[in-house]
Amino acid sequence: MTAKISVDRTACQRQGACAAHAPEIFSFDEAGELIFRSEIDAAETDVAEDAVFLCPTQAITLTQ
Amino acid sequence: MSALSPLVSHDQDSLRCPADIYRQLRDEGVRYAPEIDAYVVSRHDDVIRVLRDGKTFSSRNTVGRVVAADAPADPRALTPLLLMSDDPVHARRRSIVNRAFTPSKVAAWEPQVRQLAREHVERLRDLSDVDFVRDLAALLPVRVISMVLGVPLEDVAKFREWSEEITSSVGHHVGDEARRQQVQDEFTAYIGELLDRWDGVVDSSVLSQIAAAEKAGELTRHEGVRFTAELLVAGNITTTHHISSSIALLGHAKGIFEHLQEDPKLIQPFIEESLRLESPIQGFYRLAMADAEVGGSVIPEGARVFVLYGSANQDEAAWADCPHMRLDRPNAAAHVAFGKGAHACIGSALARLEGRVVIEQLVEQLQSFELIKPPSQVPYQASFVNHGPLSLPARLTFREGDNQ
Repeated sequence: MTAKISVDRTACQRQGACAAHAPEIFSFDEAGELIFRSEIDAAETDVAEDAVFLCPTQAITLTQ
Repeated sequence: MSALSPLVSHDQDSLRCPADIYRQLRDEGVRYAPEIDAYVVSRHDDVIRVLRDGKTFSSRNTVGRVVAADAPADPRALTPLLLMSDDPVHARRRSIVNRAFTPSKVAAWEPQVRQLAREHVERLRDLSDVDFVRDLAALLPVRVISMVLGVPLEDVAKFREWSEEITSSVGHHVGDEARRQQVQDEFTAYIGELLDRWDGVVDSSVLSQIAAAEKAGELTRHEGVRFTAELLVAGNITTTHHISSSIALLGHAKGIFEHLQEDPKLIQPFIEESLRLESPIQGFYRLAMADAEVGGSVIPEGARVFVLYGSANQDEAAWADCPHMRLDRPNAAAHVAFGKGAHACIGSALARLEGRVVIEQLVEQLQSFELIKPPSQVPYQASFVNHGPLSLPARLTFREGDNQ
């Protein structure tokens, strides 16, 4: 079973809480743009849920 | 006069079930309501749009009036740290205090929260008459938040008293000013003492996280105290109302309690439906910082905006088969009961956990229960912001052989 991640780009302020908490899912490219895996394994949902919560602008959505 | 009027005048029937009023408001779209001097936003998509745009819609007046969050008249005042601040200040503060409330940290509290819920439900056995609000829903949230904060057990009674006084002083303008200052000073001194006693170990307690943030220079002592007070104000009455409303739903809707007894896995979806249909916070205010179009109407710069979570949660455009509770909604947890966007409730995971384990304990320990008053006679909180029953007298039948 996988879960899907989406990011509201208009809300994202590139503060990086997600990348700090779940670097295996979220990171920034050389231009400073957020990149992320839109599909994650069931085993990664806990860390992804925390990343969703930690986002200061609540820009991330996790759909299981 | 607007459709909101009966709610503003605290008409009990409307407070108990505002669904018809909300439907009328959604039909009308964004409208100015002179009763509260605010534009009322009631459709699901419009509510999300306003909550997601913190730049246009400031949170400085979330509770209705503007509270000077950053330079209060009384520098010792326990004004909320997060609720009424805007970015970038809000994002900086939230990123610090967030750490104590991640879903995984909250999930780790489950055994202790369950134990507290179990004890509170067991205690109902010994009472000659039971009121679910007075004897359960009003007691558990302070007990849980005290534990999560790291308040020693022997101080919980004192803490409950402060919590009630601080909550009422934030909610109302009236009150004894000297008493308010006394409580504020006592509370500040007490939390200061707990922070001073910190042993340098960051554990699961919220106070240890606050102490660490203070040590690292991320939060001042006063900010730490304000955040602690904010947790009490934000998490107490709302969780009490959530638990009470959930029990009212179970008591008044035929067959659901039995359904949950047969399949306890349905308790989580039930909790989401309870939050959606009986949102403990029905709405909060925002302040328009620029002219903005919402749902085809223009909200002018400087206007107050009332954002109706309760109505968004009943909007047929977002919720199929809306007036009904459904325990099989695919999007059950996507409701707006905890707000959305940057100010979404920081304690949502804890509230959900608490709501679920209380109902689990009722389902486990009770054979059945009956609410003594019919739905139309249950008194509700006299507020169009806070929503929940004030009293739920009940007859309980415990399962035989348990805990005897």
